[in-house]
Amino acid sequence: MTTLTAARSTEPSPVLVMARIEAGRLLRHPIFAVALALDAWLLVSSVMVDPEPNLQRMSETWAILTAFCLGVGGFLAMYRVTRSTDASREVVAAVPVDEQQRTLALCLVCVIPLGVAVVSGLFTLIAWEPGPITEPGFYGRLPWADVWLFNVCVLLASLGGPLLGVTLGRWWSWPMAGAVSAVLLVAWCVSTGFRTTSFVTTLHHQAAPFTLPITGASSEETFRQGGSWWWRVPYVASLCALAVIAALLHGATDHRRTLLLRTGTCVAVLAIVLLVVSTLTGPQGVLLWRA
Amino acid sequence: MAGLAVPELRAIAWGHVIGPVVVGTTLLAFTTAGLLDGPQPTFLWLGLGALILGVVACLDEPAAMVTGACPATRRRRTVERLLAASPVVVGWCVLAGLVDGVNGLSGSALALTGTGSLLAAIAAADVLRRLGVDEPGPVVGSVALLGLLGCLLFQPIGGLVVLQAYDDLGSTALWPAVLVMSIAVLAWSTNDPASPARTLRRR
Repeated sequence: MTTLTAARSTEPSPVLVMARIEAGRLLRHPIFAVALALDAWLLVSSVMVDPEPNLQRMSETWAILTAFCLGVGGFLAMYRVTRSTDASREVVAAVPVDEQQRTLALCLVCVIPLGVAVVSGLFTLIAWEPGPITEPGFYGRLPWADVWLFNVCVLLASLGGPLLGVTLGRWWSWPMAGAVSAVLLVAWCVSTGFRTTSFVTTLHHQAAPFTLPITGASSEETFRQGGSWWWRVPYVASLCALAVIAALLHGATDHRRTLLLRTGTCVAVLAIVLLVVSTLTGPQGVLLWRA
Repeated sequence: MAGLAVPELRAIAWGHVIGPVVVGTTLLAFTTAGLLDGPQPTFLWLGLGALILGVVACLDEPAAMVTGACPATRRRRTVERLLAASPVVVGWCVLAGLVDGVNGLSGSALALTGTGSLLAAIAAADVLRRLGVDEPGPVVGSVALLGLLGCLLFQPIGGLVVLQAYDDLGSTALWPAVLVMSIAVLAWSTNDPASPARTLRRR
């Protein structure tokens, strides 16, 4: 009995085994490989080859690269990885783990884009030095906490994108769903570049899964967007949690389904409250500079 | 011709085509109507990205086992499928004409870039189809979208602006070259491996 227990305790959890397999599939996926290569190429270019002239430009470049390559690229890749087992549904069903465990393994794999984002952030912090032609930038006009919280939101975007890919893959079998959703997601994030001049525009800005703290061309006008970054971080984190819960809900039955539905409702309410608070409590939009 | 085209058009996975085209058209209508701060290149390119997804899906053959048995050449069948994509290309060119001169946009640059990228995506999808992928739409669409977004957010090829909404000499040279290459690739990929002409040539 003791021997049996000892032998069993050394066995890795089925979820971890599946997560390792799915991680290999993600890393071998052409979309994720293209996204990783693009991220590395453009980051090295803007850090070492042709360094950005100030911290604001460097931070924004890293943020857009991370959100686009790891967030959107991870979203598309995880959507396809999740859908790819459809053709062999009968074989997959024979594996002695239920759908929730398979989904949980896929969600665990989403830590890879987050890890890459952290590494790329550290690389940027260590390796970047402003080039010979420096511009002032506007980060000096923002509280440092806001700058760091913005970077945390970028990291969360690199986690949330792939998680949303898993959720969409579980719930929407239409083959074009991933790509069409990516277009809409990017359009939503790009549309937050408009100035936050009212409650509605600030709400729209804060609600997006990815956004920048400063908007406007530096040659014309520069505007600090409204809203609180302190409340935005837990809001984006709650969106990630919602994505996991929604993915796990697919195929859940009985007690587990009830539990997930209740938890999901609580997290959704929390996300809405955090969104409203982040919209109302932060500073209003401020014009930083005009040519 | 029309009578022959109907069965091929019926074989198109319209659900894959119409959804992205509707999303793209909506985005383009919003930005052209001035709802998103006037016609902005970013939203125009995002709309084009959705249109590319719809157009490449015209070549998806979920029922390839059945349609492949039809007594029609591969080229003819592809041309018939591309008939379904032609309104999208024409629509894009009309839109480019409509926004010409607004906010400094160049209609000819938009039309050239849009037509070139649509045709390049179609050619890539047909190459995959020839290599045995029955539904190349989602794969080619996703990669094309990633490439388009990459060119939209960054400028990956040095000083060359790939997605050109304003007059630019580099892009004026780039996109006609892409168009010619895409047509050449399509000519190769639609050539039936077992066509009588090829068989005769081999003999």
